[in-house]
Amino acid sequence: MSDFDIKFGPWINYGNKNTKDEIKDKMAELINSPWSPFNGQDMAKVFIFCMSYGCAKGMEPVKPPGNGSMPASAFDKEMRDYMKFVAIAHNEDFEIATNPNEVVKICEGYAYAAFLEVHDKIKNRTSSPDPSDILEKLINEVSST
Amino acid sequence: MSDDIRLLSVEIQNYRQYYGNHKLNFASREEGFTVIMGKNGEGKSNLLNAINWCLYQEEPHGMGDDDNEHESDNKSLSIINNRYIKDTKPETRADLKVDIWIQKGDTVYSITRTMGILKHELEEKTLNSGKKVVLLKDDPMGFRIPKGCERLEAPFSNFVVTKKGPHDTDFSDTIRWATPENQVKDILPQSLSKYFLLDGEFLEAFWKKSKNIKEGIEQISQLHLITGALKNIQTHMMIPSKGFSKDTDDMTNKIREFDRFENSRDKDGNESWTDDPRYKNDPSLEETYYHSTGQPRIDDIDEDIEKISDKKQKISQEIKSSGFGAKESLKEQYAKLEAELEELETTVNSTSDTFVYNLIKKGPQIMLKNAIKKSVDVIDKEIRGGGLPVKYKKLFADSLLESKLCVCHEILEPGHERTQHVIDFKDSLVGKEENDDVALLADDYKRFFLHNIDEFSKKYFIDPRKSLADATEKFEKLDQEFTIVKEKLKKSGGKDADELINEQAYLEELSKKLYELKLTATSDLKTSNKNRGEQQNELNKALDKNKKAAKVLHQLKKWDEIANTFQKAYDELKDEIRQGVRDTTWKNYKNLLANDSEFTSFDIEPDYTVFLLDKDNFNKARNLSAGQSLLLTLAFVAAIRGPTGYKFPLIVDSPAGKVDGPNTHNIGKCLPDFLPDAQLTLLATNKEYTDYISPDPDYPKMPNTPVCKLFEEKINVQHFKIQKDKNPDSENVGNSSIMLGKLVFQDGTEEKRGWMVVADE
Repeated sequence: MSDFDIKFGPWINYGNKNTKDEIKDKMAELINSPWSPFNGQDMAKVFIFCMSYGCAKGMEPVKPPGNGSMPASAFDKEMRDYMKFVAIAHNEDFEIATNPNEVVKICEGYAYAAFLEVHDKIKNRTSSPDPSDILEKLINEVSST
Repeated sequence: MSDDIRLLSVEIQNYRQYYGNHKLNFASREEGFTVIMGKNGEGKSNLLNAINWCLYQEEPHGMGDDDNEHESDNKSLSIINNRYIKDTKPETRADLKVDIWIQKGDTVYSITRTMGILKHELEEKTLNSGKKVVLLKDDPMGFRIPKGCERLEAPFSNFVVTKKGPHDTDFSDTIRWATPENQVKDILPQSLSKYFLLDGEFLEAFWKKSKNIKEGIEQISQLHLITGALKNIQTHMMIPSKGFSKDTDDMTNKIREFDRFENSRDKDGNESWTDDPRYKNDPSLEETYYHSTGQPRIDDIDEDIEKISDKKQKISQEIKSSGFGAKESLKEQYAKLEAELEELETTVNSTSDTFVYNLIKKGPQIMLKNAIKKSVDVIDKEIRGGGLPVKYKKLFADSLLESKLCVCHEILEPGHERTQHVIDFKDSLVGKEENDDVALLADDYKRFFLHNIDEFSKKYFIDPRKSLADATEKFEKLDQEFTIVKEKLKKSGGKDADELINEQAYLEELSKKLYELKLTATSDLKTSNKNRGEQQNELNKALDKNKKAAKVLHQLKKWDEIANTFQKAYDELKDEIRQGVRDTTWKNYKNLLANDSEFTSFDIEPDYTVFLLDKDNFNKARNLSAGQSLLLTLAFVAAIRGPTGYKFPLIVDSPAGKVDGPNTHNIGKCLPDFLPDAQLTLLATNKEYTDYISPDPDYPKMPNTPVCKLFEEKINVQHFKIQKDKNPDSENVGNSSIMLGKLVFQDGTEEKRGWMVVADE
């Protein structure tokens, strides 16, 4: 596999300054609550999941308020690859993949746009409490389109 | 001279089975192994207890169930030898004593514990057989002594440590500033004793508790000293005093609240408890309650989960070995199903974890399928249009400049406008080399993902989902079957079976409830710690603006730096030691296993979770057979000696008690090379040591050579024999002797023919 990589840094913004929607608390809920399939995972995985969901669903990216608060080091190469593809597809320009700041900006927009929907769908699910069920449901919802 | 520790001798006087005086001199590693042979119940475990009692005043080995007493348990024996106490005249004193000589570096320590007992009139009971037995009682310290006796305090009971250095002529009590307890702590700390005084029970159950792995690594390598220091710094120094402004005072108060939450304390600093009573495995114990919050609450829950797990195992054992009226086949079925269910539960959990992890980690790739496809199309279009690769464009420009001929066949003269165009074109490519990497990345995803989506989905989602569904279905089916067998067993086993099975079901439910409570408590603590960190940052910012606070803030920052340095040192050391122990354990284990391809990998995670994967990638760490667990523990104990630098002597009781033939053979072959610098003493039965190894259909070529002869090929062995007095009158007073032994071949009838250790008269 290709070993091409770019350095993001140092912080990624998921919108924790949005106090009205309590984004920060909701992110903490997702990674700490027993009901969440992301329980015990880091925020970067939630971010990538939301970004992918938002991008696949064709959402409009929304710039999150404030500055970055997630360390870029939490994003492994595979995650950074996904982010590059999101940016290329969004701009329809492959050169953007070599510009970390632009890649991050676009991805933050998708992740922030989708975050509340993903959170609410997970938290308020009335179906099976099984963590794999809700994740599959979310993935299938946007993958068939 | 190194600080290696060597056990020189143990002298036992009137302790439990041992009437009179018995002395054992241990072989050093250079001299070989020491093997002490004895049948079950003759006093092997009490040798370990004698050492433990002498060093730490505790007797943890072979004490049986707290709730149930059996004749075979040590509880049916008095700590002082029954024959000796019977022989003692009323109203006189009887002493029991254990004296251990240990060498640390070039200093020899003599550690002696004595218990004085005053005999009045013994109380006896006549059994149905007409035999009289002495009744026993527990004294306030928990020691079992004969009724009609009392334990005497100092100076009749005492604990003395003396030492003899290389230039001393005799032992002297020269370390006056240290108590004997502290001196022993310095030589062989009690917290580590379970890693050098090993019994079969401990070895067998070791991997069921991750606490053992954590303690083994952290205590032996003294990492707990760093965490202790870190905790002190954090507790006492991290919060600046109040009084700068209302804002900062409020923030400081909030931080203190978070700290109280973490340590389960109320506003006055007292421990805070809930009204929720904790699990008791002994109904006679006093009621205790769970801490309200934080780490103490999590620790309480963990402790109870472990207690419940132990109790469940004991109940299972009791059901399997019970005498109640159930048919043998039903009990066998029960035991088999129970073991299978336990294994399946682990499988269900691990397949579920794998599937959820795949959905989180690889699910985005599936969701981004269209975005990846679109990106690949953009790049392919560029390649088709000649925009990529940049490398080729550069080569093209270079070749034009070198040949001095343009694509339009005009000459590229130096300084000419046409030539400058080509140079500008080449310069414009500088810094664009990464675009080729983007193209390569897209090509990878095209070939390995877009062209193989079905395979990708199968690998990460379909197969794991199927594995999970299969395992869950199998579990549910087996669970139903188990319920039916339990019902049958209850009916045929009567009230006893009914109570045991009901208790087991109750414990199962309680255990589930505690796991949920733990999840919530852990989640609450994580949130509280996160909020504390943020509040601390806010406070630092606010204090930064306050001149009066500058000095305090400076101190705070310094303490922070110190704490961070400690934390970093701890993390690095812990990781290094953990990885070293992991690698050596795995290497050792593979050497000890009869079939080294049975497991494919071994890992100890940073949180000390252990993964021992089999060929199907199932984690078997908590579901090992008795033999496998025993071998893995031996491998681990050997491994923690290396990177942790703690060279203690090992005494292992029943090393091959439940190990099958092929693995017993491996122990015999590998143990002499396995711990090249460890002083090793084995307490073994003839089945483990002198009997011919049982054949195994899977290993038809395995020789049946007994362990004693396998050892003999590589190492000298010093033998001792524990022998019980055969006189029926001495029964129940427990008269055993320890004698120097020798290995002989008995050429008797077919059944009695073979090797044995006999007393060297």
